[in-house]
Amino acid sequence: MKDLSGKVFNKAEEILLNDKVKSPSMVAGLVSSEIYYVLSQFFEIQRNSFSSNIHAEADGVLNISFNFKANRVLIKKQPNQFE
Amino acid sequence: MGRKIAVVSGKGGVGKTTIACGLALALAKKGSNVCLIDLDVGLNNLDLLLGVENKVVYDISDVLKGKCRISQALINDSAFEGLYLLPSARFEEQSFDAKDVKLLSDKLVSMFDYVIIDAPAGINNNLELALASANEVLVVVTPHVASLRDADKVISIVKGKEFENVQLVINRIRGDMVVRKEMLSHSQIQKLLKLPLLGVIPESDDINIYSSFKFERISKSGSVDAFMVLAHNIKSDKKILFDYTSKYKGLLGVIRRNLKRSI
Ligand SMILES: Nc1ncnc2c1ncn2[C@@H]1O[C@H](COP(=O)(O)OP(=O)(O)OP(=O)(O)O)[C@@H](O)[C@H]1O
Ligand SMILES: [Mg+2]
Repeated sequence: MKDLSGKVFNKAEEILLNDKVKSPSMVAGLVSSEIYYVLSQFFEIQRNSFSSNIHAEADGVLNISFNFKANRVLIKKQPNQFE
Repeated sequence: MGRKIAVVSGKGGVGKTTIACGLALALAKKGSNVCLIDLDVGLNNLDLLLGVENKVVYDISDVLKGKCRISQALINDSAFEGLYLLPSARFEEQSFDAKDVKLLSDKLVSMFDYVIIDAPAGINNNLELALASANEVLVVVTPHVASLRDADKVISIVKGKEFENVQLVINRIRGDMVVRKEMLSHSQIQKLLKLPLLGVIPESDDINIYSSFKFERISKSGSVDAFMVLAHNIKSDKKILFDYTSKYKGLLGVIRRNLKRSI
């Protein structure tokens, strides 16, 4: 029995992957500004050290990493903490 | 409070209307009160499929414009007591506000156990309408690459919103071809799309789903069984798989498979 469905599966996987690879760079740009905003409330982020990387793995799973350097952790005053 | 389920696909012609209709019939048969909303503006055919096209007086646009009450627009099919249809607008140029449609489906869901929304094909404004009026989504795919590809896009859109449940229904699968490895199997499709699988509906020659249900005892259609399993899964939050290949396995199966191939 020839495994035609296996071939179709591989083809489909490849196509869905290609579709995904096209959008991540766009998404990365959008998402990283949000992430940067959130992180900058907790860290003093070094200028230009923030980078993001998204790529699609072979099985279509997105591998996403955000990287940055921080000069310090920002201490937020908790309500009632110093009273 | 009932549940509002949108049936979407991306690619056209994969069976949204058939699935919405079959699911509604199966749920009604199990004793639930079901309202089908036809949001396929201009290309409405749920009324045809249910054989009630002659009963349509008002449609969804009349309700939204306040020309009639909801109860005046709802059509009941006497063969299935709990099943009602809200017909779609008959003219293409109608465009609705998502907020109004959502309000309408909220009203309906207080009257019914299930509100099932038949979405139009494509990724467009009308898809947004269908999504706005639901809190659960069924994505319909067939075992073909083009359908999977469009479904994947729709899934990305759907996942960008907050839905309680986004699940997959595979339509038009052929047990004989899957056994011969000539067609993607349900597990391969699930692996590609990464969604929970709620049901499979096999390719069927007598897919006039309405008459299959109505004349079930005579027709003995396999698709009715598949829809009953789907309805059971929806109702009781299960993932029982309708076995679409068993017919084609074993000695009898070999004969059936070869018969299918030769016709
Ligand atoms: N399981 C099935 N077996 C055989 N034929 C089917 C099956 N499901 C759907 N069909 C047929 O495929 C055609 C398209 O189905 P349907 O109208 O349900 O698709 P749709 O997704 O609603 O289309 P549209 O995008 O135009 O609204 C119909 O002729 C229908 O009878
Ligand atoms: Mg349709």
